[in-house]
Amino acid sequence: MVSITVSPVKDHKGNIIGASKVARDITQQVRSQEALKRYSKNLEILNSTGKFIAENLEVEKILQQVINITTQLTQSDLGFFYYDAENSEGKKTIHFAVSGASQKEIAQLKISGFKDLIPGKEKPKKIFNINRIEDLEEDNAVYRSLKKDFGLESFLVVPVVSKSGKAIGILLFGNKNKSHFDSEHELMVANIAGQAAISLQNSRLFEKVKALSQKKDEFIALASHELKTPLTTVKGYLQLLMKMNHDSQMAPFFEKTLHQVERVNNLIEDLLNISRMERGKLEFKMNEFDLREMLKEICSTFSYSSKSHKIICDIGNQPVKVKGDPHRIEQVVINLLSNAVKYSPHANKVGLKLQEDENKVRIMVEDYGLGIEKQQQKQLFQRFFRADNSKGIHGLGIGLYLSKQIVDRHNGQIEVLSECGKGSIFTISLPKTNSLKTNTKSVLQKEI
Amino acid sequence: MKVVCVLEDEDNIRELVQLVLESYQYKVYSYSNIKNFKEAKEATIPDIYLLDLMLPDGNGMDICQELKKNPQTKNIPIVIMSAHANLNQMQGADDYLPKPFNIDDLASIISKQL
Repeated sequence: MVSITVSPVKDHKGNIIGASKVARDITQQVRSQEALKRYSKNLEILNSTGKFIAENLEVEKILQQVINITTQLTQSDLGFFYYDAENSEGKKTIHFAVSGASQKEIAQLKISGFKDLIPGKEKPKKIFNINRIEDLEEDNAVYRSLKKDFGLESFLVVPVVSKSGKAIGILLFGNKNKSHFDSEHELMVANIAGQAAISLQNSRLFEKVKALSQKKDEFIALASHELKTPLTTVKGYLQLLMKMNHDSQMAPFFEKTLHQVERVNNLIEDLLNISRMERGKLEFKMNEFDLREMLKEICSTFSYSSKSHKIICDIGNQPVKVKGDPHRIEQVVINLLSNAVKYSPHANKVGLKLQEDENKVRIMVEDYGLGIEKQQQKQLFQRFFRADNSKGIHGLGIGLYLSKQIVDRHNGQIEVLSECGKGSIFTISLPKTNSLKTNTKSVLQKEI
Repeated sequence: MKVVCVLEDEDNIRELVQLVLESYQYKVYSYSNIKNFKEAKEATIPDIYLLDLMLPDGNGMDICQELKKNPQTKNIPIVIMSAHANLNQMQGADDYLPKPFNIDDLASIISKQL
């Protein structure tokens, strides 16, 4: 490649009398510029690939993205990613992704043969750059069939090596020209293969965690069932005894025992609900209902059962219609009222208010108890969280977490306003029926 | 006298249910497994079925579906009782009684269906 510079030649008066030509060989310069451009483009692709595979935990997606990009980077006619994965039970499963072949061609590939291309323990990182299939010392069925089916002449095989130094897969590329692959290709693919190995191992860990979490949920479901079976007998016979008892002195003992049985049952139910919530299996039965009527009933039941606190009810006289699962909303309000009583051991009253404006209804539960430190207020709705000043008061840190999840599923909000030593106000805001029309669909879709 | 057919594997719960329902003047036939239940069900067509879900030799929901397909029993109400309070397990049943239950609720859920 030549660059020609033409300059005018002038006499002493400044008239142009001729021209001078300088020719320079710039082949090297252009090549360098092109290499730089290519390098910068490749770097960009490498960066975006690295980001994608580092953020992804799905094996198939990682494999496909890696093979698409590396096939493009190496200007290959065919790219193949073979991954020999081991699941949490120690079973081997084969995953693969192909770039540059049709579904029909992929179906014809003899996948099992690729396993033999994974390097052994001696040299797990060995890269094979095969300029010509004829150069191979041993006849290899995989290369032979790739040559026959796809017309490939040269191959590059880069192993994917795990952290422990074991080859867990290969990236294979083929080109229809002989001697296509160079050391730049080797370096690039080895780089991406290293990142892919890390992501694949992360995805294995993620699968293991998921499997363990599922086992935990199955255990909770089974344990809850096992605990509820004897509880059914205890509760049933206790109620029979209460019906048969005519001794008024014994009546309060029966009441107390039954109350404790209910407490155990509620704890089991909460654990079960958490497990269902985690799996997205907590069911919601959405109906339109009168929230005021529900709060009125809760007030009367609560006033009857709470000996230590008076419940101050300010819920108006008019029906307040909302759409939601009445059973779950009731669960949230009872939880907040129980907390209000529990965390105000020295007070003698709690408040329950119902307010509404054009779009929202608000349920407020107020206590005059311990209060919660400002820094801890945000953590209150996290699973198993208990405030520092709640030590000595029973609880598992489940109720507020579940309440928030339930309110969220109704497109509502739950908030707390609290001052240490003075008390707390918990506010639940729910959309009113008429303003909920646009949101209903999303709630119902989540149910499915 | 209305007849209730109970399928429950847990002896204590089965006896409790029988005791409570008999005190409400129901005639109760109770079985601890599907095999015994199936052998007897041909002879006795009850007014209502009360079925547990988890049984040693099968699932109460399968029995529920079988009963609802059978022309002889398809119109007989079925109440499922279980500690698994999942609504989606109720498909085909007429009502659901979560365990542990109040004995008054047991009686009222039966009378509501009859």
